[in-house]
Amino acid sequence: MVMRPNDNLDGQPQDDHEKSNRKVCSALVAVIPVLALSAGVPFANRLEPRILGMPFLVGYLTVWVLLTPGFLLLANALRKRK
Amino acid sequence: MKAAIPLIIMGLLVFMTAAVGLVSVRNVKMSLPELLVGGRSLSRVLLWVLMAGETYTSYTFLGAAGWAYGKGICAFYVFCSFTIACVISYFLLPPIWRVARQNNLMTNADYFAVAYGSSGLGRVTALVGIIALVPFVTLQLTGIQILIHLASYGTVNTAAAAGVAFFMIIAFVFAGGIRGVAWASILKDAMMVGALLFAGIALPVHFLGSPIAMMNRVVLTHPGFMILAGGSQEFGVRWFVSTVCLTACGAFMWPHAFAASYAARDEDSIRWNAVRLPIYQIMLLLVYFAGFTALLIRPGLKGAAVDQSFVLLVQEHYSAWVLGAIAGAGCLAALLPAGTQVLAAASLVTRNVVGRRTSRSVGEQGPGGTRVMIVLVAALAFGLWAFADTTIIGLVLMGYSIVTQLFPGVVFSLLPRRPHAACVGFGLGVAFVVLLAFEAAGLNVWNGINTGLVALVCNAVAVLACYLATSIVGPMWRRKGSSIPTFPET
Repeated sequence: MVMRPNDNLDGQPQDDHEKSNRKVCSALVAVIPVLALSAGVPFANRLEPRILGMPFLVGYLTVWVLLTPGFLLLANALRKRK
Repeated sequence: MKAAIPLIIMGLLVFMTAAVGLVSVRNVKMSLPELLVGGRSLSRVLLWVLMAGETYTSYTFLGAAGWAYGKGICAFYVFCSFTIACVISYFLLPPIWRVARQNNLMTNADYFAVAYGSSGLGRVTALVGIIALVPFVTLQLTGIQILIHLASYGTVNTAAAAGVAFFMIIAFVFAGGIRGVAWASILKDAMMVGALLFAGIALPVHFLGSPIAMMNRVVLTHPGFMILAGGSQEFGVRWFVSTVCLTACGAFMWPHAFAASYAARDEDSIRWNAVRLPIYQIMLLLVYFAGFTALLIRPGLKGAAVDQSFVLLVQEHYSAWVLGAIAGAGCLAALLPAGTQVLAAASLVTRNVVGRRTSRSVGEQGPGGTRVMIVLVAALAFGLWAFADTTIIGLVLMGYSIVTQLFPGVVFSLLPRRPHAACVGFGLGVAFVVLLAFEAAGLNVWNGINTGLVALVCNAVAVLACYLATSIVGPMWRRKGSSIPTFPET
C-alpha cells in the first residue's frame, strides 16, 4: 500500500470514509480557537466586564490562548479514535 | 566601573549557554544533515525548546514590550498569531515532515523543489526566504545593541559590542549546528522565563501593587490603550485581525522554523509539540505587562526608543546585577534565534540557490560549503544592520509580509492533485507586484487591512486561478514528473 502525504501512519488500514470523517471532526474542533482569536476579536473589543480583573479584551485573549492546548488535545483524541 | 558588572554577567551567561550547547554535541559527528536538521533525531523535549525558543527572539522580548508601550493592546497580535500558528502547525507540519524524511530534505526550498518537481521553484522560494530573513536577523542585532547599550549605561561602543556578540554566535552555530542550539535553548529558555517573571510580575508589583492594578491604571491614564480603535485606522480592529491572520500563516513559513520541524524524531513529536507550544505563549502576557509598567513609570520614549521600555526601567531602578541578568537573558534570546536564522539562510544559498539538489549528492555533501556561507550571510546581515533605522516590530512585519507569501504554495502542495510549479511561481510574482505597489504608494494598510494580507489573498487567488485553468486547459501542459512523492508504508 502506498501512502500519500495526507494519510496518517499510526492507524490501522481503514476505509476512506471513516478516516476523512475523523479528520473533519478534529479539524472542526481545532478551528474553534483559531476563529475566536481572529474573527472573534471585533466582538470582544471592549473594556467591561472585567475578566479576572483584566480589561475584557486582554482577558478574552488570555483565556482563549490558555484554552487552545485543550482544543488541540481534543482534536488529537478525535483523530486517533478507533 | 558600574558598567562592568552587567556586562560581565551578560558575557558569563552567553558563554555558559554556548558551552552547554557545545558540550552536548561533542560526540556527534558533524555532517550536513546533523548541522542543519539535527540528523532528524531530536526528542520531543529538545524539539519543544528549539521551536519555542525560536519564537522568543528580540521580536518578542523587546519588540512586543515596545509596542505595548507605544501602541497599547494592538501589540497583542503576536499573542494571538503564535497561538493560531501552533494550530496550523498541528495539521501542516506532519505531512511535510514525512516528505522531508523520505526525500532527505533540509531546507524549506527543498520541499518546494520536491513537492512541485521543480528546482527552479526551489530557487525562487529560497530567494524569498533569504530576502525575508535579512530584516529578521537585522532586528536581532538591533535587540543586542539596545541591550548592550543599556547594560553598559551607555559607555560602550554598541556597534562593536554587538558585532563581537554576533560573530561569537556564528562560531557557535558553525560548530554546534541545530542540535547545539536546541541544547543551549534549554538554558536560555530557563533564563528567559526567570527574566520575564521578574519583568512581568515583579515590576508591576513593585511599582503599582499588582499587574491588575497596573492595567487599571493604564485604562485610566491612557484611554484607548486597552481597546482597539474601530474603523479603517492603522492599528485598529481590522488591522489587528488581518495582521493576526498574516503572521499566523507566516510563522512556520520562516526557513528556520520550517527546517526546525524536519529535526523532529517522528511526526507525533511535531503534534505533541503543537499541542503544548501555546502554553508557552502565556509568557508573552508577561512581556506586555512589563511594557505597560514601563509606560506608566517611565513615560516619554518615542520612535524606535520604545524598544528599550522595561529594560530601561530596570536600569534606572534596580542594581547592576539584576540589569545584567535581564540583559543577558535578552541577549541570548536574540543570539540563538539569530544563529538558526543565519544557518537557514546559509543552507538556502548553498543547497537551493547555487547548489544542485540531487538525492545522491546529499549524503556525500559535507558541511563545509554551508559553513562558509554562514560566515558570508552573517557578514551581509551585519552590513545591512548598519543602515536599519526602524522599530523591531516594524522590521519583523516587513519580513512577515514577504515570507508568508510561501503559505499558499505549501497548502496547495497538500492537495491530492497539485498545481504546476509555474502556478505557485505566478502567485508569488503577483504577491510581490502587490507588495511593491503598496510600498511605492507608501501604504502599510489598505482600508485598515494589513497590506501583507492583501498580497497573500491575491497570491492565493492567482495560484487557484492558474490551478483551475491548467486543470481545464489540459493535462498535456502539466508535467508528469510533478506527481506526489510517495513512500512505502513503514
